Amino acid sequence: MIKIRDISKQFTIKNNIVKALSNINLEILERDCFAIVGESGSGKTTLANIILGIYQQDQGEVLFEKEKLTKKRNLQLRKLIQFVQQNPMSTLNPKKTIYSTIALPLKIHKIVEDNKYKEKVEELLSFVGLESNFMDRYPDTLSGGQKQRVAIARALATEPKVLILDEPTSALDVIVQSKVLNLLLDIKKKFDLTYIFITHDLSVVKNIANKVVVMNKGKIEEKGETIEIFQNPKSEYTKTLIRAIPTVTDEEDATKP
Amino acid sequence: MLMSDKLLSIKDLELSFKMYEGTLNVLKKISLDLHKGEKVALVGESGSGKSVTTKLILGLLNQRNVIKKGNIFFNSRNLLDISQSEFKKLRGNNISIIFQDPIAALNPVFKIKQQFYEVLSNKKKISKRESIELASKALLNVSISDPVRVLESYPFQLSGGMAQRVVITMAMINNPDLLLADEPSTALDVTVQNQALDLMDDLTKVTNTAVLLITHNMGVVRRFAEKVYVIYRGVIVEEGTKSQVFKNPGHPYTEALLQSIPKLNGTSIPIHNDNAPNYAEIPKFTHPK
Repeated sequence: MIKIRDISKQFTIKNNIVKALSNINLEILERDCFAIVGESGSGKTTLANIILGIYQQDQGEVLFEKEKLTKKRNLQLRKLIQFVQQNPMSTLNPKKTIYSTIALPLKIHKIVEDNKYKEKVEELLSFVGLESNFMDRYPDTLSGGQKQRVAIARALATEPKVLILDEPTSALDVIVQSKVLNLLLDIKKKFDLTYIFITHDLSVVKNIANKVVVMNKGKIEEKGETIEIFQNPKSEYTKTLIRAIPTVTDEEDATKP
Repeated sequence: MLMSDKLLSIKDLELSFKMYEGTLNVLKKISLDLHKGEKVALVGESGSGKSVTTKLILGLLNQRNVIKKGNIFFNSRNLLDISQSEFKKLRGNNISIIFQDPIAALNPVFKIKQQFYEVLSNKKKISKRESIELASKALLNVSISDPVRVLESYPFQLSGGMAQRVVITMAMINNPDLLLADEPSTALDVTVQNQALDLMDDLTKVTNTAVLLITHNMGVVRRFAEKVYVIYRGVIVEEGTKSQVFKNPGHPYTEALLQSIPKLNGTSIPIHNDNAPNYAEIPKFTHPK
């Protein structure tokens, strides 16, 4: 579905050149839950931003079903790839009601007729387990988990095929996290979505993704099926990462490399 | 452990904020004991009241709308009764703190050496040169190979892991009796996180400093603490040793918390019961000593 061919990207900060990504090759198939893991500064968010068209890569190309993805892209392509970001506090405009937040993409992409926004917003909210009385509320009256649900509803508004989830639950408490992750899994099944799941939390990856790529300093350290990577990590870096995960049971420790 | 070893004893501590809408009860009669050299974790979700507990211990909540009741005994002195000038002597000397974000914890406009001097000169009169010597020795001790460069740096010139090392070293340089660690490793990558925890472990062992670890991360608790208090909406719901709490959680909230964490040996995201009871109403579970 998405092919990433030999992507490189560098940033210049005060005459210093930072290589954010070097020669990345990936292939994401339809219905994958494809996890990109790595520590801060490994380039995972830069990669997501290139797929989204926020940055233009210096080298290489991104293909979406044979169509080239560049920074300049038409509405149709933008519609198909949507984004949920990390911080639920800053992802929603504090001055807009939940209704206008979710209705905006409906208007831009002309998803429904002008007189049907309200019904559609209501429907989208119901997909993420929120009642329709949330429409008139402002983000600051919502909890972190509820805000993240709204962000997911907004991403679903354009009827996308791919969702890029950038640390969607790392700002949430574990109980809320498990609810939001289960919601994401339900939605994935219901709408036949492909997920690109960016995270530093390997325990979450183990339980949600079918494929993983481990990134380190802008390079791919290792990629493959999730089970394979966790059972037989080849790179030393991946082993270090898995060993460092704080666990809560002895059984988990026994599975560490 | 002997009763006389008790370093910090919180008894029936209550905290409320008077607000325009009414009174907000944040802590509801919490009790907690910490012995010399002991490593205790206070674990809970956001809004449970764990951070305000550290603020009360440090005497940092003095606004007019704050209502405090109960006792916080530190070395048999009630911290709720002492003056701010006495607190100034305690802070950094007897009680020190490590915050979540190391870069934000350091003053951005002063070099690291000046910040070390401030901490050291709070304990006794010291020359700047002596303070630099002491600080570089301490930094060498925590395997920072070029202490001079670090001391001459501003906080933004350090990486997150390095800054946390500096902050931990600074918190420990006056050999405090009690170290409060408020989410000390949350802002760090997992590999660096373990280094920070190991460092806290090593330094406190040498000086027999007790640690009160405040965190939401059960994995970090399991790695670091000896004794665990679980807090939920201002109520302590469970108390016990590490192995008691992790192997046989006695309170439904602790159980739900442990169950909700995705496991490394798992194959699916745990499902949380939507009809969960109000955990705060279920009585506290104390494991036998």
